Amino acid sequence: MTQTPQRHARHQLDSAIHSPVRFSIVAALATVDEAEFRHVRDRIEVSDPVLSKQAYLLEDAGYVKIRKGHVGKRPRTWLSLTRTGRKAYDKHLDALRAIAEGQ
Amino acid sequence: MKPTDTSVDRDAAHERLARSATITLASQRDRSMYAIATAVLGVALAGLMILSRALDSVWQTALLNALFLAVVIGAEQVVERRTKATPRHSRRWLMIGVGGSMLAALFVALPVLNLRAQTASPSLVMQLVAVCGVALPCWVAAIVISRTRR
Repeated sequence: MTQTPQRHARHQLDSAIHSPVRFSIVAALATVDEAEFRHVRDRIEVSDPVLSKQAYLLEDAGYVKIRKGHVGKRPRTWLSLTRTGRKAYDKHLDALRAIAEGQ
Repeated sequence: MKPTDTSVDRDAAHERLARSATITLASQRDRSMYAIATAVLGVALAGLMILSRALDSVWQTALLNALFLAVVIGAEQVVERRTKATPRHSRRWLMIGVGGSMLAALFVALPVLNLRAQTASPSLVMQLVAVCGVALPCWVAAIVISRTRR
């Protein structure tokens, strides 16, 4: 009987989440149902264009939902993690834990 | 998306795990706002139930329903203006609270009050208990929302 060789945990890391800024966005959004764009920008300390670009990349990957609306007359944008995004983030964290434990 | 180098060493993995454990977007203020809105909706629902029993005119009932709708929309507007993030599971708890309050009103409080009204007018204490009973699921949901840390 042949055994499938166990792959290193780094192969389980998600390339869409792996970049430092995208990881921070996803990690932050994982703690809430939804957050305002400017609040996310301030908390993870990036500029508007950087957050916008990375958020759209995550949206393309199906991990983030971008909702636009108004509060009073002011336009606002809200970001949230999709179910797929939460699952991918959990899997990514599992891989990081495995690497941290030296597996 | 461009394929990226996903190699990471143990220290980097520790650092990322530590970052993920500390970062949070919802503040205590956000949690309090959602909790207060949930509690207010519970009281509004209970008020709607009690007052609708006392009204017999269609216009009065319509006015009461409009007032209730105004409270719901007002609460939603205040919460959207004053919060920066929606705490995790707070919307789910809000829906559970409102659903529980509606069920309590429809299947417990209203039948009991109507049954009582067949023999005598329900006392003020009984009506107060009914109000608290209807608002209770929303109050419990509000406590859960305010106490959830992440």
